[in-house]
Amino acid sequence: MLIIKNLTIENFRGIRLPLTMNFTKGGKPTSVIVYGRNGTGKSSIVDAWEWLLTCKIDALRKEGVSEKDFPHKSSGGDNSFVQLELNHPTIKAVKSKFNKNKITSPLYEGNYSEFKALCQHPNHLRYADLQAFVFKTKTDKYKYIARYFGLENFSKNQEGIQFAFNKVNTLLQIHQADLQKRTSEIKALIKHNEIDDVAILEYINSIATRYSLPSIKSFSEHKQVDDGLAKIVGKNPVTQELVIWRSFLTKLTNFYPGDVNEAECKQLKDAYEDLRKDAESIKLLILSSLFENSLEILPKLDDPNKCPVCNKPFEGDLYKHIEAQHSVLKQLNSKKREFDRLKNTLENNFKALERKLKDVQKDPSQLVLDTYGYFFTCVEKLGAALPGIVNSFKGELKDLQAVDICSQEGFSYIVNIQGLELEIKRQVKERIVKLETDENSKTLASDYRDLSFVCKGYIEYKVLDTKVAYLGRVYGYLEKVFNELTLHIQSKIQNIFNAISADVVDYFNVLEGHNPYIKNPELKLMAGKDKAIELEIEFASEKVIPAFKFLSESQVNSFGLSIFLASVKHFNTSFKFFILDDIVNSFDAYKRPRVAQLFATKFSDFQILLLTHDQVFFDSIQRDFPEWQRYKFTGWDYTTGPKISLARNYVEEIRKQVEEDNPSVAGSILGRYIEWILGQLNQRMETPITYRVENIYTMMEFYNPLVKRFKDKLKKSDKVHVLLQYFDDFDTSTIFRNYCAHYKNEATPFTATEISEILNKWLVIEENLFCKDCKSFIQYKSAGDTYIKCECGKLDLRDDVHYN
Amino acid sequence: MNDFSQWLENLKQSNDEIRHSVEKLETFFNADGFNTQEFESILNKGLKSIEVSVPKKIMMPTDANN
Repeated sequence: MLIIKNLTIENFRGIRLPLTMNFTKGGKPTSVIVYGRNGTGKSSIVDAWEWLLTCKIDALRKEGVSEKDFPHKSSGGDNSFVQLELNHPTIKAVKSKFNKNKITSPLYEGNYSEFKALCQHPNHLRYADLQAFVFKTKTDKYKYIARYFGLENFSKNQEGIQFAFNKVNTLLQIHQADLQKRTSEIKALIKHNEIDDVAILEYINSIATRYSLPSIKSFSEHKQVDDGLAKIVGKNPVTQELVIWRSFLTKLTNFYPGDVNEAECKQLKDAYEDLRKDAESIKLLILSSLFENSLEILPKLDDPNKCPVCNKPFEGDLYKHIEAQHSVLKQLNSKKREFDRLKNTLENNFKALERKLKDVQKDPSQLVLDTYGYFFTCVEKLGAALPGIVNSFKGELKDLQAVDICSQEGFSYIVNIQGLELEIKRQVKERIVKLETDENSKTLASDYRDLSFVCKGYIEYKVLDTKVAYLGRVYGYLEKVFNELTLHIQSKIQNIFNAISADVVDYFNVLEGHNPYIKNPELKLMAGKDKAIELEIEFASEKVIPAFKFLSESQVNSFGLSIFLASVKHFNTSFKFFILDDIVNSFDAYKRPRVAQLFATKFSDFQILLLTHDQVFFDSIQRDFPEWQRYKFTGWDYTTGPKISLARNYVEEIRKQVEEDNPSVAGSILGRYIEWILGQLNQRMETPITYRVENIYTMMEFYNPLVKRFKDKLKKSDKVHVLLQYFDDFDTSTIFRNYCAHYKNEATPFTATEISEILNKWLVIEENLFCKDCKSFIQYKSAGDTYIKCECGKLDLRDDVHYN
Repeated sequence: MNDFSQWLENLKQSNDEIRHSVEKLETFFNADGFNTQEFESILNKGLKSIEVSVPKKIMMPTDANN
């Protein structure tokens, strides 16, 4: 069994100085919780772990961040590493070091391969992964499941084949369309239902016969007829000229209308000038996403008027200030998107124009050149000016000084060429009509054109036909393998889920068991869809799919978390460890303690690394698991990374203040602590409390009703409950009542001894109300028999053992 | 050999048709997934080769064609 001793990260992402998390305490393996606000470097830990295992960070890759950005910026890639020390007979340590010479291949030290063999399955979960599970499509759920069921390789290959499939399919459709077009054109000319060597030969020989040229025996000899006909055309000046003008008219038809127009160029200029009105704002566009994140984070902070980046207070409403800044940038962003769209369209149009200029200039006859010299001069000059015109608007927005395509040198040729369209076409058509009055010349010109078209077209037809057959075969191979792979993944998913479903249901029930209407979560593969998974739940005894018809986001998160934990347990049997990064974000306050209960009851033999920015959750875990290593990231600095200290739970903090003879501080913390615990106990005991419309309560208004509640529910005629004796002792032998009345007043002179006494006596009471096994307080239930028990039932207050 | 490679090997044993398809594609599979870049490159080479070979073949005298 792999057991972690410590994890050290240096010069990686937001971590500069070596950060070591110790996974032992008192010589025994333990878990770790890290508390820190957003921006203090917690996620760098998960990034480091993912990189250690996979040499990638998927979450960053999706945002366009590459491996070269993984080391801390000031390290330059030197001494950037993640190191794990382990307790194992043969695997003592593993280290992954950033490799400047090949950034995608870290340098491994220690027993890395052995370690990887025991840790094949992803064992870290970010909040974003859970969100994907909740909010994303059936296909995204499929990817999530495939990843956590050890099918990531299969799923990636499936995605790749699908991509290839789509590519081949697109090409096939294009070529099939071209083939169909070519087929109809050739059939129309050869007047035959089939296109094959025989039909083509028949056609060519019919032309040969018409002009008394020798017949040919195979298509490969078609040039003989072609050349023979060309000689006859050469002797017929009318036909020659007709061929020339017809060819030029075809080129003009393909050339016009132009792809670039003045109106679009002016639109781009206007869009640019609108953006440049506020030049400073262009630079601020890069801050847009920072503002968006701030708006999401600020409401969750204790002090929303303190900057989460520099921790300095802001005068005024920080949220409103950032909202206003973001709104300005939002409009700018929208304008920039429009500018980019216009720019890209024009770039493509200019590319198309460039191609057309080349085509229209290809092999022009001297007659055409002499007749339309001005047109060809404009075409030539425009071709030379095009690169300069395109460069004038092609760059990045921040580098462009001005955008005015219409004023660029050479742009006037576009206008000139467009102006010539109608007149040139009219003139050429007139010439053709005049020349076609000679029927023989007209027929000869048509035959010459058609023969050339059929011969060239038949070669193109054969090429297209072969390509279509080739693509069809490739499509067939892809289809067969894709179908087999899909069937395999689907059945594997179903089999694995069946294997872990008992655990999934078990964990889900710990998290959601308080809700009697929701049961038996299941995964369902969608019939007829190759990559789609949906969640099914039993709601009020009825199977419902998709589950979030009736489940909240928090409940679906519970489902996702249950699947992750069940998978880790199932797959990594020799490495009982997982990381959870901010996964309670969407959990209601009442459910967060259930996460602790889940760890205590189902994963007590695991090492866990828990990262959170939730102070209340952190306090709960600190209280419930004092044996864990507990770290607090109090800030972040570019030169050092996270500012880290060992955290103390409430009790530890109070004792420290008592030790340092700070009774006022100790008393204040104690008051907050007892109020917190009283709140939980009153909720679980369903204590009736007198309502106050002003919502201000003293501690006694929580304490007295609770004691009365216990007295009422633990009454037995002939015996006294030990808990009531402890309450009695607490009341009479300490200054608790006096303390309750005055603890919020800093000037009140309690002594450290008095505070310590209250704490110790209170902890005795608490010990009798809290189950160390399932990490839950007792709860009052009256369904049939009244009972007051913890979640696992081990602590039953109405058991005789608690009575004297 | 990882799970996926093993699965491919097993697939080849299922029947001739599948084996043939797998053999045509197996060079593109790797740990990072189906190598779409390599596949596209080979596909485009195949198409380019048709553009060269078919006209050449069609222009050969009939005896050579047969």
